[in-house]
Amino acid sequence: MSPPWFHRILIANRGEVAVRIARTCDRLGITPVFAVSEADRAAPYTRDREVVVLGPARSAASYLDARRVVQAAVQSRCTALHPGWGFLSENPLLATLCEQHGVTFIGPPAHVMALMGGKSPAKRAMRAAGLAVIPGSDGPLASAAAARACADQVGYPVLLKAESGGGGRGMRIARGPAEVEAAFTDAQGEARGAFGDDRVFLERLIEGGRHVELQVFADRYGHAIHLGERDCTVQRNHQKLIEESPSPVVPEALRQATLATAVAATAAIGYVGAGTIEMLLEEGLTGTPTLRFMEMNTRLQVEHTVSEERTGLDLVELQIKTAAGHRLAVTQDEVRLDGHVIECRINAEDPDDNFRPAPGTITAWQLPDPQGGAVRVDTHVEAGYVVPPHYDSLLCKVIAKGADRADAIARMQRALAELVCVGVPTTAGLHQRILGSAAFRDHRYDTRTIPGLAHPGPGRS
Amino acid sequence: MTLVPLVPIGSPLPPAADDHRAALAVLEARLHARRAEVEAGWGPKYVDRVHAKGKLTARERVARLIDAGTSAREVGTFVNHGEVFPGDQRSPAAGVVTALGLVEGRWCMIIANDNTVASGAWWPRTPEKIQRAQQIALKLRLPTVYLVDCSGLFLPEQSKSFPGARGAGHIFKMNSLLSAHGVPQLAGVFGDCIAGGGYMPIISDRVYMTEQAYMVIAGAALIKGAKSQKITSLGIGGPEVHVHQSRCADVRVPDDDTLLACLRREVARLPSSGATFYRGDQGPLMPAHRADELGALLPVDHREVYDAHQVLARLVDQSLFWELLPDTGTEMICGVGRLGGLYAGFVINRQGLVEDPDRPGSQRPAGILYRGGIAKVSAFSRACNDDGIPLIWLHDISGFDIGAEAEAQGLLAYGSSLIYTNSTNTVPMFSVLLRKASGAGYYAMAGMPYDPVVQLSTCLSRLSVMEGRTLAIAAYNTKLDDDFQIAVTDPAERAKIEAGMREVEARIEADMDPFVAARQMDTDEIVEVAALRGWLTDLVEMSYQATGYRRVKNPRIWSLHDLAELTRGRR
Amino acid sequence: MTRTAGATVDAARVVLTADGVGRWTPWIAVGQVVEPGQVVGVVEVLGVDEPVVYAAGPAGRATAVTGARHHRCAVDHGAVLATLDRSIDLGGGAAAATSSTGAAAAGLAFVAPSSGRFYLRPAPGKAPFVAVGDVVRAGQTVCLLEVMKTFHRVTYGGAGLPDVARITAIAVAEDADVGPGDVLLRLAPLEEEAP
Repeated sequence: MSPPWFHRILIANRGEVAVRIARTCDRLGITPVFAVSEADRAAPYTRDREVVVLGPARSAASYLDARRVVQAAVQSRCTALHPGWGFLSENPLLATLCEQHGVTFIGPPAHVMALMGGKSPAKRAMRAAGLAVIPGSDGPLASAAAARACADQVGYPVLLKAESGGGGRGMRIARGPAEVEAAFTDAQGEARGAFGDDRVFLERLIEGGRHVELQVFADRYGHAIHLGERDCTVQRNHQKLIEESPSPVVPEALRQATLATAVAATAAIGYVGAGTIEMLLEEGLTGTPTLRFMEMNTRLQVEHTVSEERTGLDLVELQIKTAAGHRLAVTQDEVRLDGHVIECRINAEDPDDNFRPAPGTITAWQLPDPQGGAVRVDTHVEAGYVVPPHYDSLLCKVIAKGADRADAIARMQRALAELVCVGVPTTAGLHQRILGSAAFRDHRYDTRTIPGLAHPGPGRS
Repeated sequence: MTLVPLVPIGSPLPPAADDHRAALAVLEARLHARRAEVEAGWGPKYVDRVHAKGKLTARERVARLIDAGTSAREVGTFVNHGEVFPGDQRSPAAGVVTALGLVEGRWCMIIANDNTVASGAWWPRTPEKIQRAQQIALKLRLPTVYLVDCSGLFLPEQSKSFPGARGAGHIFKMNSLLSAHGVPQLAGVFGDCIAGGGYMPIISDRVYMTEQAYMVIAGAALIKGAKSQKITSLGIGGPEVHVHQSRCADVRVPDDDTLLACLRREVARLPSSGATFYRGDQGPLMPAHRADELGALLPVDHREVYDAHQVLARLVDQSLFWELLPDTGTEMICGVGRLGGLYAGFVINRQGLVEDPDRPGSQRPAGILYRGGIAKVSAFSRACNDDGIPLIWLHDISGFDIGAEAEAQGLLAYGSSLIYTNSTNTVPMFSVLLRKASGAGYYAMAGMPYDPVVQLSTCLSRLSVMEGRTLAIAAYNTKLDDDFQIAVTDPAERAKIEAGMREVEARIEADMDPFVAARQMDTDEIVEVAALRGWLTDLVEMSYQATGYRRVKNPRIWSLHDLAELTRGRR
Repeated sequence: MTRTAGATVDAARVVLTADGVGRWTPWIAVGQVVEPGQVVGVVEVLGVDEPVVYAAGPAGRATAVTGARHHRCAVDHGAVLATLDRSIDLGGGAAAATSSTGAAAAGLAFVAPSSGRFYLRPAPGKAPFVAVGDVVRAGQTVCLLEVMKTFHRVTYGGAGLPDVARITAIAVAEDADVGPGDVLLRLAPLEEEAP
């Protein structure tokens, strides 16, 4: 029988992401259609699946070409499109193109995505909704003099940041008044060159701190809930390595207050679907820890699995049903946040060669024992899989749940020890070192330091 | 078919962009200086005089009337600019501020006598300027707010502003027509309101007076002369009389600020904007290619070309556009895009060379109207009118094709059909003179003589029946040979003809200055190129504000879909 | 926007394939000879028809055409659009080679796309766009044509001209009026210069 929602959904993504979305589609009786590039057309996860080949391996002419993606949905008679995460998932153009051509975009409305995509507008909207923000200028600065005045007010060091773009470009630090003008001019020039937009704003530079993010969800009728927080402080070059929930360091009162405000903010901006509010936990000059808003990701995250394992909810299912106009089936009171969950991202990278991505053929692949449901592995890989050189190097995510943090760590250590991958080097060993370290267990680390690694890798900022 | 198949258009700026931006900046610096000059009125002395009376200036009143954080869109800023009247007097902005502004989220037409210029007197063209503002309000059914502070006609020039078809009295006819069409009118009287001026507020639905205001058919000075009575204007026509005895006004308030707050409260009682309804779940979104890049796109030299699609990409939301009839009349581009989340139709002529459909492999210039383009524009204009889609005409056009072939093809007749269409359209149309607007091209693209709701010029606009050189040739046609060379041998006469032609050419060049058009009310406003999207977005929002007075079809019943299907070849 | 069909050539056949997704309508029929440079059909992407061109390769006779009986059929990237039989190419290829030699002997010519006044410089006092001896590439601006009071940048390229060539002569004087088809530049193919 046909399901009482979309019959066919186009998955505009690849690899582990596509597999994750398809799993929920299968369960709901929806036919998933895989939009793939030429490089992925023969990938094992598309076996016996409906496939539309978008274009060549190059993402710009396949996964990143919004016209091709929407046309693929239209001609394969899909009535909804799931963008997954990465690629076009935060592109308001894709959302609008879908709507204009009769395909429901599984995600928030385009104008809300655009609002959260602009750094200053997002910050302004979230401050208005009651979240603490990083002190700084109210939007882009008119001149170096304005930057100086603002910096004097918020206190040094300060970070000058491009309004458009990201990836660390168009950013400059000024550690004192004498450095502001040069930092402003350089950030402006780099931003103009990189993004064609020389608008620059200023924030107080918070060094270190912990990365804590809040999972929120809203339906089309103004109801919003949260699914707790995730601590993603263990990072290498701004790439998250380990995510866990709850955060081992956020005080309970701060956690509850911030989550409540985040839910109100989600409703206030007219948000729909799954979203993540990224915050920085500042131990602070004052000694009182504060969670400050950094940005909102208007999509599902790689690490949504951590929240799923704590709550028992299927976030992709919630997304699909919300897009089909259903009301949220759970209230905040009904959301249960159980135990402690840790996720490790296992990449095909060579730890002996500065974590260089290592494409190649996987000759042997063995998943760990599920430990009675306490261990989950999300992956698109199987023995014989060829890791293509065109895309990111994620092989799988291992998620372990325990009664408490120590229990979760122990289960994860066992699972990682059981994971077998032959043919390409992986980061599993790195994770073992982190998990086994005293620094990780005592949470003595911030976003700049990887616990258990004596020497930070080269190239880190 | 309810789908509006918008697709992405545009690409990053071409390399010459910075040169264009710099050249335009020089011209726009002049615009900024002149605007500042107009806004200063008669200068600080007169501003101080107004403040000394405890009153606000006209521009201060407008600024306090509109919503905080918004800015008014002034039209007619340069009316009478450069004009000198008897007694070496000037009338910046013709002594009246006419501006579109958001009040309590509703666009209003605000008409404010400039009390820093001859106490708000009406100069030649002041009545026309007020009527133009009323006309805009009438076409869009915008609530109209009069901020009255007017000492009457500027008497030395009364023959230019009193008797004609657009004489001062026609303002009151417009008051009446607005009322007859159900457009709410509000008036605040802040000071003098003498003679005919007395009628401007009192046809309004609600009339407020401050304690410094009076309305009289004849002021004290005149009565003293005629009846030898010792009286004051305030005594014979102040709030004590008009709010209580005559009931010509409704409410008395102590001061300017209170009156403005009352007017805001009145506007808040009106229906909210229909734009929110027509947007549906869509929100306004910026173009993917930034709107301020428009200034870098248009070459200052009108003979240099650019890609018209790139202009559209920098105007419409998310740079998404649905081009209709792309394979016919390729010298013109017609299509639909969103501005601030609301649908609008666009007509723009291409630049450069396009394929000549009659001569395969050969090309012809695009800034010209040929048969295919005229027919396409007519059909598109009719369809937008039928569907209630506000229509924006972007001119950079040299005119109609000329010559034996053009006549034989019946361009006159195709042009007539277009003129009939644009003349009888009821949908709001807006005209923008990007650069050239020459001859019949200006007429075909719904220029001012075809009653666009608003016409905007840029600092690059060149408005004339033909370019100066061409006009000089036409004027001296009888003295020229077939190659347009002077056919006279006598050196003296030759020199005379040459001088005459140079003089004609120079005069036409000077007349094409957008400030001349703005002074004469041949265009409504001169705006910065980078500000065009903001202007058009607001104008389109105004077009969707009032509900119930015009057809606004939902896309399911758009005739545009039929047009698109019928012109796609065999289906 | 024009799309280029993928072309896989072997000894006997040419297989034309789709570049991306869309709804395909062929303009060619079984039995028809298809030449390089020819538009073989259109693909509709989000309502916009984009011509599909067989850009380069040998000529052939169409033996199978996708969508011939049912237009606007959905195709994805790499889907077969048509198959061409190369056997007709043997004679034709030789003829083409002869004619190209003939053209080279007579020299190549780049002609005016429309009537107008010819300018070799972007503005008086500025360097000319091209000079005799220069190598020009497809898409490069070679002159301005003033047509009805507007300047148009004329770019090198067109049917029968190589992508790269050397200018042997500029056939028109600065400020001269030209008609459509008048020779603007004379050119020589580059490979002839190999010592």
